[in-house]
Amino acid sequence: MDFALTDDQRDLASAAARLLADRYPVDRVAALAESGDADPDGWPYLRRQGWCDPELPVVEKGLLAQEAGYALAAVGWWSTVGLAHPVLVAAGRDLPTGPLTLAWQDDPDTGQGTRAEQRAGTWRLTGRRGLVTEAAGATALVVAADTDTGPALFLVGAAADGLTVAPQPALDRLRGAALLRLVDTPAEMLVGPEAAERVLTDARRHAGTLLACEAVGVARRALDLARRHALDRVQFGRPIGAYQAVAHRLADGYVALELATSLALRACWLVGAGPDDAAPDEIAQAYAEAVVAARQAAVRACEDAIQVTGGLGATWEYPLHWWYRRALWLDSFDTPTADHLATLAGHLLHGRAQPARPAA
Amino acid sequence: MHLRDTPQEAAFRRDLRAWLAEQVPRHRDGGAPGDWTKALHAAGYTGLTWPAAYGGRGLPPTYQGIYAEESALAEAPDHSNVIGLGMVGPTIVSHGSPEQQQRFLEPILSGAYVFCQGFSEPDAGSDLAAVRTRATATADGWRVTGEKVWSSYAHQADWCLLLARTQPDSTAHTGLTCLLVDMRSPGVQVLPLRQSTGDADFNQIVLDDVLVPRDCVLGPVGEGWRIAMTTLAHERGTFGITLTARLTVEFDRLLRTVRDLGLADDPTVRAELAELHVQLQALRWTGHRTMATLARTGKPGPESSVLKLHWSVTNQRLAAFALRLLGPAAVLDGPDSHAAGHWQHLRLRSRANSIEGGTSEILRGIIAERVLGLPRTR
Repeated sequence: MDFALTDDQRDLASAAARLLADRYPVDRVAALAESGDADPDGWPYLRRQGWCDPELPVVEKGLLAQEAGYALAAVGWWSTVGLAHPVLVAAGRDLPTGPLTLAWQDDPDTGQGTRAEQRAGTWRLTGRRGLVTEAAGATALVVAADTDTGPALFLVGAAADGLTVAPQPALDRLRGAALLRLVDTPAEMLVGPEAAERVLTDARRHAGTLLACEAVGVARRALDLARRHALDRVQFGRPIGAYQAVAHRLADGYVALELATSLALRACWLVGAGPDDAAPDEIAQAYAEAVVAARQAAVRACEDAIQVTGGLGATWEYPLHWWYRRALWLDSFDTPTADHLATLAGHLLHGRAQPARPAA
Repeated sequence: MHLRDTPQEAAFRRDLRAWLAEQVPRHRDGGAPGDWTKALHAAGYTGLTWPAAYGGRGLPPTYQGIYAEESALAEAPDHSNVIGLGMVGPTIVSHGSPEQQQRFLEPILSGAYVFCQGFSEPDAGSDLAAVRTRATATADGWRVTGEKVWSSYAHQADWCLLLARTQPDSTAHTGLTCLLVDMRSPGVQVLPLRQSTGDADFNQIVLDDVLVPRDCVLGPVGEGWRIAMTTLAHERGTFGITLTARLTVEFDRLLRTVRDLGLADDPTVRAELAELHVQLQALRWTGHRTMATLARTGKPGPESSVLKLHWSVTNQRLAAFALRLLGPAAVLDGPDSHAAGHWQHLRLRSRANSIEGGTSEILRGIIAERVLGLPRTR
């Protein structure tokens, strides 16, 4: 076993970190968040940098996601590469050059979903999809809809007839939520009912694994902000980082970050290894474990950072709350933590547990 | 990055597991102290990572990690020379004279010389540099007087790696020297230290004018602090993997308790079990990450403090949860209680986890200062 980043992987991560630090300094992140817009030129830029290369292994994508979380890069990269690309790959399609997203959740307000009907050889979608991420800049959307024989996945152009993308006020302004309304909207079937459920599960797991990495990046940034402040802020004649109450809080945050990093990288490796090298149960559990640990680490790091930065950390002007908002988004998006824990408990207590003992 | 054993590692693990399955039941009940060490030595499982020139097998640290993991999972008996093999031996490899290497290394491997460690004192715990045990130069070497505490295996040990103050007016880290003390020397007395569990895993060592010959000074006189730090760094090498594997054994036992008590469908019990499992997996994979760092750089990374710190929190959480599951019956102990008092014992014993081998406060301080670069907090 060799559970360490290779030199190439380290280089990839540090190059990504430099690139994002240049492009998204804190004041730019705050300005983009205030306006609620994605960086208009961010997508082609990241594409040129190879961030959308379909050959990128999951561990490498996880490293990029960590850096994206650290920088809070305002680009629809995660929705495209994390959620939508796996569906297109499963469908045997070439990857479009523009940003994409995937819409599969019902409108949380009305509970309404989407129906698909085929008329005169063309599929048409009617209904709603809610909580759609990074839909504003997308050139096309992958939409889940129910056919008479079960759920299927479709491709819908952003300018298709009868499609309305309504952005909704969101906790994390850098990853907005949108409500899709579809009225007889023409669509192309990507994956039929025979495989759609599996493909959607795989895409969500792939994207969720990258989110665990993003959460690790958020936690690391929050810890860095707190650490910087603990070194600079002087009270009672000493930098506050010289007080154990502050230093030990940050040390505990570092512990949570390291533990979450291990599980996030492991989940990337297993998701990337696929069913030939990893049992499906092992992948499912590693994913749940990574998500639970990374969410907790991100929220905790942000809350600790708010405490350490004192009154400053509780203001709008200090940028920390943008990372906190992302952490809260990560803590809530898709499968709730309680459901991940229930899945793990099911594996542990009903004989399907991945042994904590290594295979020999 | 690769998360599976190499074919060679897998073969090593398979052979070791088969050997443990056969040998552990024979040694678990009874047997003289040191028998287990001798059996391991005969089978070639001691000194895995030691250089071949010193009788080791010269294997990469990953093999020591596999050994640590599998023997803990197999609930192998306590290895009576764990300090000699894991800490003192590597220190002698790094800092010993050729004569000391010749004299001590082979007997450490074979178990002929069982070692203990004499670092902590009644007034030198976390503040190890406050050592007061005094060594005075004589014509033949050094005369040592003082008191050491929390010494594991001292009652079985042939030798002790002792930290003593050789420069009378020195303070803190200076003026300390590491000595190899024959435990059968006149003036050495070993007394058991009884813990809150009732067990006596540790000892007090009283030294009264004990003669230590000059050739038993390890490393230069006055450089004892640096030598002792090497020893403690070795302690952190694979110990995190051992601790995590022992926690895995406890977690499996916890699952049995949950089922036996009919609590397997209780949603709050299930949620806490799953949370504990996440922590256990996080420790396990962080242990593997530490091992990979050790294999690449030759020294454990900062993750190793993380492991000890979080292991103690998780072991304590598990022990508290297990005892809570017993409800009012938790007040019993011994043969009348569930699992023969195992959880009562673990609950009491686990409180020391955040104290022994580096208190949590010291470990947090190490992370804050050395990893996060914060100012000294004292």
